[in-house]
Amino acid sequence: MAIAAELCDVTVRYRSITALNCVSLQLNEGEALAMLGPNGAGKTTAIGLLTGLCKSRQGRALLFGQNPRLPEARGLIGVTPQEASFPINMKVGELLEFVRSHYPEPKSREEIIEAFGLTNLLDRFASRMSGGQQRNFAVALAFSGNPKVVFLDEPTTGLDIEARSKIWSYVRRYRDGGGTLLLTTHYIEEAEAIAARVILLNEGEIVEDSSVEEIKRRVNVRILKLTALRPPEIATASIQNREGDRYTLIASDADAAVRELVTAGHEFSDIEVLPASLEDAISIHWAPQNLRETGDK
Amino acid sequence: MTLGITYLKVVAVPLMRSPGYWVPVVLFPSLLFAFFGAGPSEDDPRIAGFLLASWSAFAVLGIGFFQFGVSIAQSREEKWTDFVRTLPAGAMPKITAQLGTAALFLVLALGLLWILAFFLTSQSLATQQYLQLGFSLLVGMVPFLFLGVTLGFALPARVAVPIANLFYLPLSYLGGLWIPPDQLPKIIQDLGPFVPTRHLGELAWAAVLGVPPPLASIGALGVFTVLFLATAVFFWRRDEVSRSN
Repeated sequence: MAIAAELCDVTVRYRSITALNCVSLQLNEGEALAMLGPNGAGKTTAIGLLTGLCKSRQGRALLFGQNPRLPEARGLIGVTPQEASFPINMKVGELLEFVRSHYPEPKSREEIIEAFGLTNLLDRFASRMSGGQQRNFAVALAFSGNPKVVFLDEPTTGLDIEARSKIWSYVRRYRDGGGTLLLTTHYIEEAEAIAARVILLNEGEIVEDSSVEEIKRRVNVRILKLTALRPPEIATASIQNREGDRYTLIASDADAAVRELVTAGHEFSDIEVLPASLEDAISIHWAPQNLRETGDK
Repeated sequence: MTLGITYLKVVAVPLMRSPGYWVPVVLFPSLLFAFFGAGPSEDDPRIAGFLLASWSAFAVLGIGFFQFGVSIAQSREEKWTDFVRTLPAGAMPKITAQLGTAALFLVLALGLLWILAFFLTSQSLATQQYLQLGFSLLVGMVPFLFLGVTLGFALPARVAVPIANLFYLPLSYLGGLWIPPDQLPKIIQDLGPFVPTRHLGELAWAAVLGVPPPLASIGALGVFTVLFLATAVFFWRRDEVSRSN
């Protein structure tokens, strides 16, 4: 299968911070890949390299074998930036035309207007639309050039459920029609909705590259909060935090942890079970110092 | 070519919709000419021609400072600019569009000023003098475009307007575009050779007198072009580096 986009051993530093450290990845044609990771993991930098916005000190980025900094190389891609903002005094219809006219065979104006519900917005000044409308329009622009590869950097942040599902149904149709997709997100649910393969980035490094099911199993951890007189030390959960007699535990199987608390005879009250953030999940499964700590216990 | 026109639209249309741009650039030169230039020009065609040339040169400066200075400074800070950088287009259509837009506003600003002069003053310029004036200003504008680009890439947006004005207004005065050079204080007359606007004025005044432009001023404008091109490239590169790293 042909490689659509590729990072070969790239390192990017901003002053003292290493945004990406020796990262390599390949995006095959027709593949839908999600890049998952907390803020500051390097997701936006990776997309910036592949779309010609940034340069790397070491290693290289390729789009269909070409340097993404060359305009020709970018002729087959569409991009939705993480923060959508539009120039003042330009209308939605005008900006749609502007973007379409960069591509040899763009999608028809009508198709984009229809798919993203832009009919009543065409004469509005883009910068005066609501935040959600601007994000929706930014995604529409990424597809308007009829691209072979689309880069979506946290495309649905701040969108309501209806707008979100509308975008996802379009993205799925694009994927099913053979389109190639690289998506970044904080949310495993978003990755699951669209991608078969997931890359997990943390602090500028790829810590996992596998199927969405595998990552989901490991990312789906739960937080347990409870009040107890003595530390609830059990095998199926680890204590993350303590404030007075209130304990915070992390468990990959909350049910098993509760069963163990009961059978081991721990006395507790006011138990809450909450979904954990991606950062919490990473700190359990992938951060080396935590692995060591839990190993010692 | 088609991309050039595409970019011309996204540069020119927002400026036309933004009074903050076209009022100072297109209206102010004509307005100030009507206030201060039309009176003394009523009876003497020589004075009328001289002042018409001065205020035409002032109009040209505004485009350099506001379109190239202020607009570049503002667009650099917009996230949209980063998005546009991911589209498949090189630098050429963007540069062509900026120059095309400058030419468009030059025609509007000078057109209005010249129509006003035709009706309000005793000017008696021949078509050929108008042509020489227009051509001199088009060429003489080049160093000021680069000065504008320099400011655009050097300044953060929030200070771009006041600082552009701090160049625009004093340079107009020092160059003798508001008050003829021989009526300026002695010390400012002596500064003349070092002031780029004075040389732009010399080109414009030669045009209305119907004499060839002075070589010294052409040379001086050439030197300023090289200087401001160098500063423009320096600050543009600095901006590129900060974006790419």
